[in-house]
Amino acid sequence: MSAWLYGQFDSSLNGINHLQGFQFIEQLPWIRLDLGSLGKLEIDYFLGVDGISLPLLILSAFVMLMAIGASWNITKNAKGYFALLMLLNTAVMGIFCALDFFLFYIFYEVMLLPLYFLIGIWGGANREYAAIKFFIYTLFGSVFMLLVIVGLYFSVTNPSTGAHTFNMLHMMNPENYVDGSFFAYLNNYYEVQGIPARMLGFIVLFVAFAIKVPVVPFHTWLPDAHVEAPTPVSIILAGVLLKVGGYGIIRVCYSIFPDAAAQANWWLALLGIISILYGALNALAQKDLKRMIAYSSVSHMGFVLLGVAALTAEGISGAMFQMLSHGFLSAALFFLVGVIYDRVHDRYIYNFRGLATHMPAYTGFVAVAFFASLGLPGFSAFIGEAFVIIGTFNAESVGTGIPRWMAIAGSVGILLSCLLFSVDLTAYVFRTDTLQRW
Amino acid sequence: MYNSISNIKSWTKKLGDAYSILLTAGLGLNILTMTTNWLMAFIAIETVSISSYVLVGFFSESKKQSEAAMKYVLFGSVSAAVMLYGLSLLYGFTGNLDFTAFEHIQGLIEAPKILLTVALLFMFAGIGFKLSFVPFHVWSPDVYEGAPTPITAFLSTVPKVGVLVLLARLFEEWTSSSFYFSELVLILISVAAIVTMLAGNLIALRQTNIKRMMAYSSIGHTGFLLMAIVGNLASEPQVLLYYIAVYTLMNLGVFGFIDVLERRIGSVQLEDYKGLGKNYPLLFSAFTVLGISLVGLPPTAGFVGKLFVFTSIFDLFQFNNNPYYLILLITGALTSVISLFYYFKIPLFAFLRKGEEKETSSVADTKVVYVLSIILGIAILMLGIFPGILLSLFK
Repeated sequence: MSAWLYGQFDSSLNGINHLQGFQFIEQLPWIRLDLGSLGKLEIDYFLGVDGISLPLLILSAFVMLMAIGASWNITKNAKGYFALLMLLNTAVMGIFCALDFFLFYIFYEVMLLPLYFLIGIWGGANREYAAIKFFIYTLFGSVFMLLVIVGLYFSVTNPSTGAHTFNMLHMMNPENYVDGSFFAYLNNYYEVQGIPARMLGFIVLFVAFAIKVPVVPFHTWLPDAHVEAPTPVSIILAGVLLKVGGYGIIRVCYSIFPDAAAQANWWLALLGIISILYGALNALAQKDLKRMIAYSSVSHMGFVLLGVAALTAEGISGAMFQMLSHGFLSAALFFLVGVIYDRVHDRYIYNFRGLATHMPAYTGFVAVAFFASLGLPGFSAFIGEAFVIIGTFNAESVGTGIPRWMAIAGSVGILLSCLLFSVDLTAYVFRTDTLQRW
Repeated sequence: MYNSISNIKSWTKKLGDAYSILLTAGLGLNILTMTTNWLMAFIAIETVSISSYVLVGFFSESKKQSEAAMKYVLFGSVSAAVMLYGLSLLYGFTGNLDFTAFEHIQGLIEAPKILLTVALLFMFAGIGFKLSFVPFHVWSPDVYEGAPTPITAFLSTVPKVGVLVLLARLFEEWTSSSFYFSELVLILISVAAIVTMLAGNLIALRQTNIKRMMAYSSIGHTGFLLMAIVGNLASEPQVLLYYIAVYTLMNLGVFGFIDVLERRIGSVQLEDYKGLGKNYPLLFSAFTVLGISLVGLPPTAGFVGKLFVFTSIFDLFQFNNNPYYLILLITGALTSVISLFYYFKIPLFAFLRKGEEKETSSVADTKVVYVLSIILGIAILMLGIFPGILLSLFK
C-alpha cells in the first residue's frame, strides 16, 4: 500500500513541477459571496509562480522526495502516514503558489494539522509535548494574522470591480487602498496604543512568520519539534517549512507593508543578528545531534532575515539563495542523522567517536554536508551567506539604515558555525581512541 | 429550522412522551424567534425551559442525573421569576410590551434611570440564564454532564439559538434608538462576550469529562455568538445565522459522537478514549474535523463563520474606532488558540496515546446516530469549502 502511494505521490509531484516550471499559471474562480452591506466577498482560487516561489517549489518537491525516501522504515500505520505527508505537501505547495491572501491563510493552517499528527503519532518519546508546542506557537501567530488579513480586506479594493478583495497583488499596489481605511497609505489616522496601524499590521504579520522561520525569541518550538519528529518529518520541517516563514516575510510583509518594513528594518536586522549568534552559540553547546542541527538552522535562517532586512538587491537575493541552500543542506544533515539513528538508535555526539573508521563512506558524506553548511567556498551556503553579508555592508551606503557592525556580527556568526562543525567533526567522528561497539 | 430531534431517535424509554415534549419545545422556539413582544417572548422562553426541565428530569436514572435536573429547575425558575419582575417594571414604565414599538422606546427614554437599569439587568439575567453566558453559566456544566447525551445535544443548541435570535433582534432595536441604555447595552454585551469567551475556554482546559468540557466549550461559543450579535449591527443577518447554523451542526455532530462512544465503551471520560483511533478511525477522523471546526481552523465551516464575525466586527471598528471592538477581536482570536488545547485532547487521546485493548460492543441502535454524525462532519467540511450553499439559503 505504501509502495502504491509512493508511486502515486512521486508522479504527481513531478507533474506539478514540470507544469509550473515552464510558465506562470493562474487560475481564478472560487468563492464570491454577496454579503449585503459587507459588500461582495471576493475570494479567488488564485495561484501563480514567480521567481521567488519557483525555486522554493522545486526545493519542496525535492525535499519531499527525499523525505519519502527516508520513510522506507515507517511501518506503523503507513497508509495514514503517507496520506498525511501528501496533505502536507499539498499545503506547502499551495502556500508557495497562492496569490490570494485568504487562500494563502487556508494553506498555511492546513499545513499545521498533518504536521501535528506526523510528529504526534510517529514521533519520539516526548512527542505529544513537541507536537502541541509547535501547533500552539504557529497558531498563536496565525490567528492574529487572520485579523490583519481581515483588516487588509477592508482597506483594499479591486480596481476592476470596485469590491474589496483578498488578492495579494492588489494589496501590493498603494493605489488600491481605500482612503481613510484602517491600513490606508494616505490619510491614515488609526493608531493603537500609539503605534500606527500599518506598522501594527506589519509587526503582527512579521511575528506570525518569525515564529515559522524561527527568529530567536520565538524559536523554542524548533529544537523540540526536531528532536521528537521522525527523520523524514525533520527533513521536511527544516528543508521546507522554515522556508515558509522566510517566503512569507518576503512575499507578504515586505510586499504589502513596504513603508513599515523600511522603518522597522533596523530591528529586523538586529533580530537576525541575534538569531545568527544565539543559534550558533546554542548549537555549540548541544550534545544531541538533532538539537545541534536545529540550532544551526536557527542560525542559518538568521542570515535570511538579515539579508531581507538589508533591503538591498544583494541582501534579498542572498536571503533567497540562503533559503534554498539551507533547504538542501539541512535536509541532507537530517537525512544523515536519520541514517545513523536508524542503525544505532542514538543521537549523542559523544557516542560517535571513531565513526570514521567504521563507516568511511558515510563519514565522507557527513564531512561534505558539514563543510557545506559552515559556508566553505565552493558550497552553496557560502554564496548565500556571502551575498547576505555583502548586501548588509552595502546597506549603509545605500541608506537603508543597517549599520556596518551588523554585517560584521553576521560574519562572526559564520565563524562560530565553522567552529561548531569542525569541532564536531574532528573531536568525535575522526577520533579513533574509543571504539563504539554496535 | 432546528433539526435536533434526530439525535434522540435511538433513545428507547418512553419515546412517545419525549417526542411530544420536543414538539412543545419546538413550538416555543418558533414563537420565540418570531415575536417582538416581551410577553410572548417570556411565554416562549418558559415553554422551552419547562420542556427542557422535563427532558432532563425525564430520563434521569442515577442520583447525579436527578440532581442535575433539580439544579436546572431551580436555577431556571429563579431566573424566570427575576425576568418576569423586570418585565413588569418595563411594562410599568412604557405601557407597551412590544420592544420595537415607538411607545416602548419613548417610555424607556423617559423612565427614571436607576429603576430602568435594574429592570433591564433583570431582563438580561433571564436571557443570560438561557444563553448561559458568564455570570449565569454555573448551571450548565452540571446539567450537561448529568443529562443524557441526546438531551445535552438538544440543550446546548436549540434553546440557545432561539434566545440568541431574540437577543439579536432586541440588540439591534435598542442600539439604533437613542435612550441612554443603548450605549450601555453595547458595552454590556461586549463585556459579557469577552468574559464568557475567556471563562468558558479557560475552564474547559481543566476538564477530563468530555461532556463537561463541551459544556464549557459551549459557554465559550456563547461568548463568540454574543460577539456575532454585536457584529450583526454591521452586516446582514446572514453572518449571525451562518454562525448559528454551523455552531448547531458542529455541536450536534460532537454530541452524536459522544453518544455513540458512550454506548460502545460506556464512558465519557477523555482518558478512556486512549488508543481508540485504531478501532474507530472513521469516527475519530470526523470527530477531529468537528474539533478543528470548533476551534475555527480552515478548511472547515467553523473557520468561515469565525472569519465572517471577525470581518463584521472589524467593519464596525473601522467605522467608529471603538476600543471595545478591538478588544473583542483580540479576545476572539486569543480564545481560539486556547480552545485548541482542549479540543485537541480528543485526537491526542485517540490517536497519539496507546490504550489497552478494550472490549467494544457494536450496538446496533447506535448506527443511526453514528451515520448522522459522520454526515454532519462531512457537511462541516463541505460548508467550509463552499460556504455559498448555506449563505444563499439565508438570503
